Order: sequence, then structure tokens, then C-alpha cells
Amino acid sequence: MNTTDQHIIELEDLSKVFFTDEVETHALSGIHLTIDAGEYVSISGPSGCGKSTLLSILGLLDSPTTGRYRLNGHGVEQLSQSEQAGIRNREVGFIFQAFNLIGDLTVIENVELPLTYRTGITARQRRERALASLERVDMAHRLNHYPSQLSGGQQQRVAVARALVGEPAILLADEPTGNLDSRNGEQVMLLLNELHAAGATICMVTHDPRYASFAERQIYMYDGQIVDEDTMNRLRAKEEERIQALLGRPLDGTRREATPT
Amino acid sequence: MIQFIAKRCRRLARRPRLVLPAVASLAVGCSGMIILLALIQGILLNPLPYPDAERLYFAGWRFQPAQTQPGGHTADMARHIVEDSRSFSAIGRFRDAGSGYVLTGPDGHARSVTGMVADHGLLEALGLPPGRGRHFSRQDIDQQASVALISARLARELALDGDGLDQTLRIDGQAYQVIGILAESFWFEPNVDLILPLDRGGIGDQGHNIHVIGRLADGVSARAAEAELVSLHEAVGESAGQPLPDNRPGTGMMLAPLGDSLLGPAERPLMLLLGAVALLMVLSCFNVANLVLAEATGARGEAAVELALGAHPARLAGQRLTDCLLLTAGGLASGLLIAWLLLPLVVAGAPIGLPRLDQVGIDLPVLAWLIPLGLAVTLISTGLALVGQRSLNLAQTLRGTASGRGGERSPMRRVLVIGQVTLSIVLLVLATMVASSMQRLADTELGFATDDMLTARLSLGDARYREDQARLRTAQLIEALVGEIQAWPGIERVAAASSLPLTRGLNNFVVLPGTDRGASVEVRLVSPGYFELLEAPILKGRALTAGDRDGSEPVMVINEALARQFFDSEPVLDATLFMDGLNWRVIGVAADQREINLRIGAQPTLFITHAQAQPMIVSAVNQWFPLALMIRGPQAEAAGNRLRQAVERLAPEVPVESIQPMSEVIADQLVLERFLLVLLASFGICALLLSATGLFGLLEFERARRRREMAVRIALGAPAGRIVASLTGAGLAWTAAGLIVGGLLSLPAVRALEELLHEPGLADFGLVVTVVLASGVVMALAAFISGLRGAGVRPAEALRQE
Repeated sequence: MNTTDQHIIELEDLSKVFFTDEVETHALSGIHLTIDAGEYVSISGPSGCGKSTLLSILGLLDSPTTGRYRLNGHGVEQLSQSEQAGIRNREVGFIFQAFNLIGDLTVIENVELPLTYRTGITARQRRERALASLERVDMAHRLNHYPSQLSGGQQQRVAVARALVGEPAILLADEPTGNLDSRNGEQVMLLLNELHAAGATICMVTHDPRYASFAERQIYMYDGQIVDEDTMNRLRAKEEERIQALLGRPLDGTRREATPT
Repeated sequence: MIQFIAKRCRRLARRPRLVLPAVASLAVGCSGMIILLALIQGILLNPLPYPDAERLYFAGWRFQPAQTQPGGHTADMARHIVEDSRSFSAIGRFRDAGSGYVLTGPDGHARSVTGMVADHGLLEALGLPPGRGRHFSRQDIDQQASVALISARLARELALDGDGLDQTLRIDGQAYQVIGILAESFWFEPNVDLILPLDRGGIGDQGHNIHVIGRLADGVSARAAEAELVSLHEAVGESAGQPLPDNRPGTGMMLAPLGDSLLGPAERPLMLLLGAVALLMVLSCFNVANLVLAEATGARGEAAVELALGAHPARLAGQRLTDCLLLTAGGLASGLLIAWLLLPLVVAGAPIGLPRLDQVGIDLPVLAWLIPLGLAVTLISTGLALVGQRSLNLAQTLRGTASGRGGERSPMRRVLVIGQVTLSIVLLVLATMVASSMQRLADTELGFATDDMLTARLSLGDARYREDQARLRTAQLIEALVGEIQAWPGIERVAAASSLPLTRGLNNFVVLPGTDRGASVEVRLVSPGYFELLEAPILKGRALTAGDRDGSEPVMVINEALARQFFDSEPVLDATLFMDGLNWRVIGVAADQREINLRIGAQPTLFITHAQAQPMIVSAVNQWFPLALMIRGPQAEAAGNRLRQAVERLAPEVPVESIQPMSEVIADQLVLERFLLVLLASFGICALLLSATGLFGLLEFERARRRREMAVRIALGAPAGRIVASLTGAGLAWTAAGLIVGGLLSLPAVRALEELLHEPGLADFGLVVTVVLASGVVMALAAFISGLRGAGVRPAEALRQE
């Protein structure tokens, strides 16, 4: 895991436009962002603001329309698919909202999976590193279980172990608590805190302000742009006013927001 | 019920990705099946045109223990059977069914027609009344009346006046009065158009190959009738005071149903093709079951909702059944249309020897087969789909979280794909074996040249070429024809023979004088220059020449097979063989040739000139075999019309039966193989395509099922090659399983085909392996394409949709 002072992530004037038929959707525009080694960053914002799109680009699952992206010091825009796959495998660890464990593989096999795509690692080494990773998330007692035999919280812990096993430069977590109840959600957040305390660089997307506050640095997004907290609060207030005007009455005390997909 | 079916129809109409491949798949299988059923119905199953045809039996002679077709009797024995047997209500004799007769009609044009000689008892036994006029009476036979029966088809062709009765026709140079037109439905293999009174065939009590057909009397079983024939045969032997000829173990009287005897030879190739097309049909069912299973898996949510709303589980089975029924109906209708379009082509390409091809068509009896066929297809498809359907976890399915350990795996679908590959391999191996056999036959060393050669068959049935004048007139005709044609530009050699090479000829008995060694051998009457024309080497001595004529010493050339049979290591040249009351000196030994056909190796054969042959032999040959005229040279194959005109000018009484290059004569010998090959190869290729489609469909299903998994793997850094390998590997494994099982199952299938193959051997093994591997490549390609598509999944999109 990289713990030096250099930027792990450097984005310069990044934008992403989706073209569907004749409609042009600007998902991201003018994104400037750096994440340093050892940082724990949360990205939050309302649904459709571009959080997940940004995370996909950070994880090389998608490519920007314009702008520059350097990952761990290397420009990645011009890389081929296979080169991107290699960097993804070495530098990035993913934690998904829906866990995305492979149902046909056991817990230990799921965790070993990223290492199987690397050369020069023996089966024994793979097994040892996967075991160590599972021990870090306290799941070493479920090695030969299948994902369907685990609770949601346990599945997410296994997913975290899988993200850690390759010792990536950065962990990218996309709504890691989105499919969990509050107790399991909190446990996962505590686990991420522990990892951060141990030096892991984490970038987490969440729509939940409570979980965003676990991070040491919080980034807000609105309509495809990064905004500061004050701007964010101002935009939210304006939105609430507009809805109250439409409804003709004050909003309920608790603001509800759809779970992003 | 109607509402239910209508609803399923509407549902299927919205699923072209299920309906189109399923119907196309079934159409392929059904069209093949309908074509085969039409052939089998027309040739084998349609009843013979005679009333109570199942009571008609051949009373024949078994020459060999394994013989299934009854052989003929001596005239004496046939007479005993007809006169003494009490098991038959009517019984009669015939001979020479299929012989060529020269018939000159009112238009003065001589033509060759197929006919036979028969007695009044045969027509009485067959029981079919004449279309017009009458059949033979006993008096016609006893008095050897010059009367004839002709078929309705021939009557139309001759355009006879009035009803055609009492008109005079010249048949083989003699006048015959037409006393009856056979019924329109009359059929006697091979398409007899003319029947003459039995004794007009010139047979006495010493004649051979007389066949007997009888109609079993009421209350008499075939077994009892056969027992009576056996005892009758023994009684004849005792009365003769000596053992009967051909009384070896395993030989004897046999009674065989008429239908089996007439149609039996067609049964094996047709049944083989039926088996092949049944495999194709099952393969189509596998494809449909696979598609229905895939669709059912995709519609699990829909099914779960129906169950949650209170639907009985049987309703889901009913839905599958109805879907399969509707798809089958579509497949049958499409298959019927394809079969209707292709059947005329299949019939046109069918071997000439297949009987009753004119009765092959898509008629009511064939359409009636569609009901059991459709039911079988529906039940097989539905059964496989239901067996393969996984039980629903209602709660999980409704929550959209159903993901067992193996996700939505479908073992049955894999079994079906392996089954498809297996069946297609079996079909392709069969086609390969036939192709290999055909190639071997085509490559057979004939022992003579065939290039630049035109052949003609001249019918010498006219009375001028019979009896005492046969030898003189035949020799004169040959001399005239050879003399004229030899002078044509571009013609280098001309020769004549009693039979074309590669066709059956006269058999005669020869004896080595001073010994008891004798044998039945092939006898060829040939003109001088015969061996030179064929470039057939004379290994010892000399060939026949113009000097070997009437009045000079009788001489013969024998082939190596005959030399081995009689002389072994003894000197052959100037040795003597006794035949037809004469001693013949052997003046030459010719290299072995394929005399009879491509399949049968060299038979002991002797060659003599027409000029030295006994007149009765020339007469008999002229009656049974058309004279073969062969010309060679650069212009030979283009000289057909000129040849026909020359024959018409020099001998207007001699009809030309056929004119064709020697290459066509050889090609005609391969017609059965070609017919089998075209159909088997078509079935095999269809099967391979269906299998590849089935495999691709299953892999696409797997790809969709594993889309999220692939997205995760890509997100974790899996290279594209690993993704392709992961998806392709499964397809390759199923293909390999199918190839292995198919290869193993091909062994018994090839064994069933063995009798139709020419000298199958180890050489075929390499070819079969090549075909299996090539099939594997096609399958691998289908798997690879699907794998490539799988590697193209966009993880951000796939995971977002989650």
C-alpha cells in the first residue's frame, strides 16, 4: 500500500459527457481533484450528481471525455485496455455497494481472485495473502463458504478483503453501506477506519452524511461539479424552498433521498 | 382454453429471439423427416396395387443360407409347383421381368420396352382385373398364342386407335395381337410395360430362372405352404430317382411375401436415411428445449408472480407444453413447405433402382404422419424443458435476489448441447464414411481405359437377330457399324460386346476336359479390337482377331481370374475348355477387369467372338442383353447424334436404348452412394449448424448470466484474454465431451452402414478424425465469438445496472 507523500490521484479539468441518441448529458464537468497517499476522502452529493461516474473514472472502469488523469504518478488516458486492466489490478481495490462477490467461488477463492490475474505469484502465496487479508476483516473462519451462505455484512467484509489483498495504492468504495442495515453499515465503516489508520488511502462515495463524516476529508458534488460545503448547503436550501413552494407546505423534518443505483 | 392458447401465441409473437430460431430449427428437422417419410410411404408402405396383397407370396429357391430374396426355379420344378401345390388359390409363373423387347408400333418406330413373359396363373394370382380387354387364358399359354398385354402407359405412348385392343404390334420382329390393356394401377417391379405368354420366351422344361408367385388359399398359413413346397421338392427328387441339383445345406424352398421381395432392396438405404433424419429431428428437439429453457429462465420473475398470485404449478408446465406445441406447429408448417419444394429434387436424384418413385409425394398418408411426428416433437421438447427447469425460490425471485450457489446454471442445457454435438458428429461421420466409400469406388482400378469413350446400347430383340440367323446377322451388323464408324474423323477405335464393361452379362458353364472341374463363368461375346479399344493388356498369347470366325478353330481369351481357377500353375495357352458342346482353345490371357460393376472384383471371365459363338448363345444374349457399341477418339463423345443416325440407317429395326459417355456409365454406378451422400451430408451440415447455434445460444445465455461476474473480474484487473478464455473454456469443454461421445456412438452407427460401404477400412479413420476435428473447430469458433462478446462487457455500465 502506498503511503508516500505523492498524489495518488490527480484530476485536471476532467469532464464526462454521455451521448444517448441526440441527448448529451454532462455527468462531470471541470473536475479538479487530488488525493494524496494515506488520505481518507468521501465524495457525497444527491443522486445523479456524478459521484459514481467519478468513481468509475478513478477506477479506470470508464474514461473521461476531456481532461487529464494521473494515477500514482502515471497518466492513464492513453493506456490500452490491457494496460488499464493491469493498473487496475495493481493500483486499485474496489468495494462495491452490491458486494459483487462471485457466487460460484468460495470466500477464499473470491479473495484470491485479483492475485490470479498477476504473474509470478504461486498458488501458495495467493492462499497465504488471501488468508491474511481475510484475517484483517475477521472473516478467516468462513473460508469455504459461498457468498450466498453469508450475511450482507459478512459479504461486504469479504469484498473488503478482496480489495485489500492486492495491496493497491487506493481503495475505491462505492456506497459500501448501501445494501447493509445500520449495524452492519457501521461495522463496515469502522473497518475502513481501521484500514485508514493502518495507512490505507481510501476514496468512498456515499450519499449518507453520517458515513461521509467518517472520512477526514469530505468532497461534495452537485450537478457534476465539485462544490464546497457552504455552496452545497446553499444549493440544498434553495432546492428545499422550491419543493416547499410546489407542495404549498413545509417539508417533513427528515429529508429523504433515494438510494443511488 | 382458446383464450389461454391465444395468450401464449401473443406472448410468443413478442419473443422473436425464441420463436425464429426454434421454428427454423424444427423446420430443418421436420423437412428432412417429411421427405424421408414421403419416400418410405411411397416406396415401402403404400400397399401393392393388388387386392389382399398380403396373401401374395414368392415361392422361390434359396441358393445360399443368408439369401433373403427368393431365386428362380428350373422350368420343370416351377411346373411341378404350379400343378401340384394345393396351398394356393391361384399360382403362376413368370420370367425375365425387366427384359428389353423391341416393339414397333403403328407409327413404325422401333422402341425398346421393358417386359416379361408370364402365364395366365400369374395374372390370376395377382388378382388385378385388366383395364380393358382380357388377360391371358390357359388356351393362350397352351397354344402359344401370339397375344400381348401392354400397360396403360405404353398404350398411351403408342397412341393406339380406339381402345387399343386387337391391334397388331411387332415385338422382337414378330406380330402380336393386343388382347388386354393392364389396369392403370398395375405395377410390377421394374416397371413392366409388356407381358407376353410364358412359353413365347422359348423355354422348355430345361429352362432356368422361372419365378413362381402364388396367392395363399383361405385358411392356409405361409408356414404350412412352405412346408408343402419343401415336401413337393423332395417328392420331385425321388420321382426323378436322383438327388436334385443345388440341394446343399442351407438351400431349399422359401416363401417370401411379394412386397418384401419386390421392395426389400430399397429398405436398407431408406431405413438408414430414416435413422439419420431421426437423429436430426432429435437434435432439433434439443435445440427447441434449450431455447425454451433459456426463455423460461429469463421469465422466472414472471412465473414467480403468477405463482404468488395463486397459479397452480401445473399451469407453468401447461405453458411450456403449449409453447412447445405452438413452436412445433410452426416448425411443421415451415418444414412441410421446405419438403414440398425439395422433394422433387430428391426424387430426381434418387437411384434408378429405387422402385415406385412415381408414387412418392406429399399426400394424405404422409400428412397423417405429421400428427405423431408433431406430438413426438412436442413431448420430447416439453419433457426436456421441464426436466431442465430449476425449481423456483419464490421469495428470492420476487425480491430479485435469487442467486444460489451456482446462480442460474442449467445443467440440462449443457447436456442438451453435448447431445447436439454428439448427434451431429454421428451424422457427419456417417456422411464421411459414405463419401469415402464413394471416392474409393470412383478411384477403383478398372483394368481398362474410359477416357474419350462413347457407348451405345442397341436392342437386338428383333427376330432377325434370334434363332438360327442370330450369329450371322449380329456379326454382319457389327461389321457394318464398325466399318462405318471407324472412318469418321476423330474416331480411333470401335468395338462391340455382348455387354458393356461394368454391367452384368451372360453366365455359362465351362468344364476342364478330362476332369470333373467345371464352373459358371462370365461370357463376353466381343468383336475383334475389343481389348485394343479398352487398352486392356493381354498378358499372354494374343487377343481375338477377325480371323477367329465361323469355321475356324473355336478360340477364347480368358482373364487371370479364370486362369487361376482352372489352371493355377499349369500352362494356360493352348489349353482347352469345354463349353456348349465344343472344345475351345485358350489363345490368350487378359488382365483382370471389373466386368460386372465397380463393387465386384474381377470374376472368372472368357471372351469369344460373335462369329464363333453358338447361334443359340448369340440368340439368348441378344434377347437378354443389349449389344454394347464402344467408340473411342478425341471426337467420340460428340458423336452421339451421328451414331444414332448411323444405326437408324443401317439397321432401322434396332432401337438405340441409350447413348452415353463411359464416364456417365461409371457415374451411374455411384448413384446410390451419391444419393446417400447428398442426404447424409445435408443432414450432417444442418446438424452441425444447429449444434453450433445451440452452443452459441447456451454460451450467450451463460454470458448474460455471468455478465456481472465478468464486470467484477474486469474491475479486478482481469485481462481480456482471461475473460474470453473463461467464457470459451466452458464451450470447448462441452464440445469436447460431445465430440468424444459422438465419436464413440459413431462406431455402431457405421457398423449399421457397413453393408452399403465399399471396402471400409482403417483409411477412413483418418478422414473421420479430420471431420470430427473440423466440427470441433466450428464449435470452437462459435464459443470464441461468444467469448469475445463477453470480454466486451463495460464494467461501469454492468455494475451500475446492478
